[in-house]
Amino acid sequence: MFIQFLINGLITGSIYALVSLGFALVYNTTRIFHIAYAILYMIAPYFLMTFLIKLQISPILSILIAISLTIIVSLATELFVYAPLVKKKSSPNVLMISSIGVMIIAINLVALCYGNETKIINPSLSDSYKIGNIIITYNQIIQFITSSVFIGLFMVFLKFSKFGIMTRAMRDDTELCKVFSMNVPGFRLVLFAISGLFAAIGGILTAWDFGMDPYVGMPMLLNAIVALIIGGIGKFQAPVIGGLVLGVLQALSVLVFSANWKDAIAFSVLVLFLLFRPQGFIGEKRRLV
Amino acid sequence: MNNTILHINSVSKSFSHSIKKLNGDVSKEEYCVLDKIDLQVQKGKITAIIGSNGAGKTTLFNIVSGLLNTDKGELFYTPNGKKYNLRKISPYKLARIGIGRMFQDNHIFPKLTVMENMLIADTDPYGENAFTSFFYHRKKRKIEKERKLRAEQIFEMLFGKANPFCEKQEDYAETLSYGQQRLLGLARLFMGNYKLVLLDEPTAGVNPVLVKKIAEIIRKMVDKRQMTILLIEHNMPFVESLADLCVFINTGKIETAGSVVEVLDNPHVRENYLGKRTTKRNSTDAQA
Repeated sequence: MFIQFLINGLITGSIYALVSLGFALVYNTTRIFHIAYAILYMIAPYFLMTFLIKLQISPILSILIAISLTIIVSLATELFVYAPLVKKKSSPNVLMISSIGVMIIAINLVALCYGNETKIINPSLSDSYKIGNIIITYNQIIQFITSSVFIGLFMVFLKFSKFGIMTRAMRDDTELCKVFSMNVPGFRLVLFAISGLFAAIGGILTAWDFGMDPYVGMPMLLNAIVALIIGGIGKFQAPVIGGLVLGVLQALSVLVFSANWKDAIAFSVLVLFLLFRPQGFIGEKRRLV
Repeated sequence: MNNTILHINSVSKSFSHSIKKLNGDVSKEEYCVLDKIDLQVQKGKITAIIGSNGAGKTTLFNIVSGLLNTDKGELFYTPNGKKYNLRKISPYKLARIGIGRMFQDNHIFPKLTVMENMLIADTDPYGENAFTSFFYHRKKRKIEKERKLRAEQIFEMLFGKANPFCEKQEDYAETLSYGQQRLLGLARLFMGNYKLVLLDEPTAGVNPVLVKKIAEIIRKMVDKRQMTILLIEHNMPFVESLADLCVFINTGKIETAGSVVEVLDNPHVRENYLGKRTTKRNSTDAQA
């Protein structure tokens, strides 16, 4: 039983890790607390449902279109909301409040167009593998492999390519990047596109299994933020470690208590980390003086 | 004209500031930081800009490097016969046309390795695009290998065969001492194809041994790479030993310009910035 829950936790954690990585990519490089990221996670499955079920387009093509449209929404947030505010030298608080505004507008628009109730994309029950007492569904395998492949590719890319060096340089010092021939506004667009890609994949993988409603984004965003904090803000590996730990803790909390305690456990862990290890698992202690 | 690389013509810059009075009224005050600055920077020379804190030196650098806009005036950059209007060029493109800069404080990327700090300074944009760098893998690897080799050659040229930078190339740059970080910041400027380099107080907070090393590196920038150096400095012995020309800025205006000796011995500069000389100038001072 314990191993079954542990595996379930790792699979859920891999999705948390992917979604949290997308959030961290924007936060670490631009310092924008990108609350509107929640709508990318929510909107991708709605795009998929539109093309797959309403317009009857093939699944692969529908997924590609849904991901592309989500990336466009992510780019539009940067182009029409954040970039103009940054140009006016608005404070991080103004950016965050605008981000909340964008999220509320988007949630209401989706609710207006598709309704508030839960929608199902894939009504059939997933087949599963049984190894001893452990059951893993095909959907879970796809979730874990897809998340791991995207996280792995991104990490390799981050470590070894000039693009990766530039992403890490942006995290260190944006002004210095400008004097080293880096087109910072253009580069931010690339980061928002990748962030949108990760949110879209996470959203589609989850909604394929559990369905979606217009409000699924916020709980996932909170989990992504908790994962980022317990991993260690500032490091790109941190949300991956944090996501996996959070996923496992939530799964084990279901084993020990009940499913209703999942969020309570997540936030208890967050409070404990903030009190006793604010730098997270792999973050570094900040010098106070 | 041919011997000038940077033309700063009547550049002015003001900042406005809101002040809330005790009775609640808010008034706006304007501070003129730069007032009709005219400066022609000579190609292949080291020009030092001196002046007290708040005189407008760093603001002038921020304008030249595109981080601030001017209110009035023009800036032209003429490296090889071509004429660029700097007011119309984005900051990131300035590095590509040969203008480099080292800041006073944030001179390195602390969480990048020593080698990555060098690689990022290469002005060749190949490999920057997230999507295309997935493809042409062989070409990309070849270019990255060449960049790394070039960085190692620069370390050897500046610091000799056995140097801490080659040894620590995979360590985070923040693990270097403050002085070494400064040297890395300067070494990095050899990676790009820079023609004009702006150095903001390169010796600030550095011990005398490293000051000598920094002077050596700046001399190599001019002699080996034909760079033109524009530097802000408060260390007068350093300016005397290194610079060819000197400019004194006071309250946003260029008040004196000329050879280093002329400017440093100018009574007005003495009175407003340097103070009285307690010893007589030795004729060999300037060569020391």
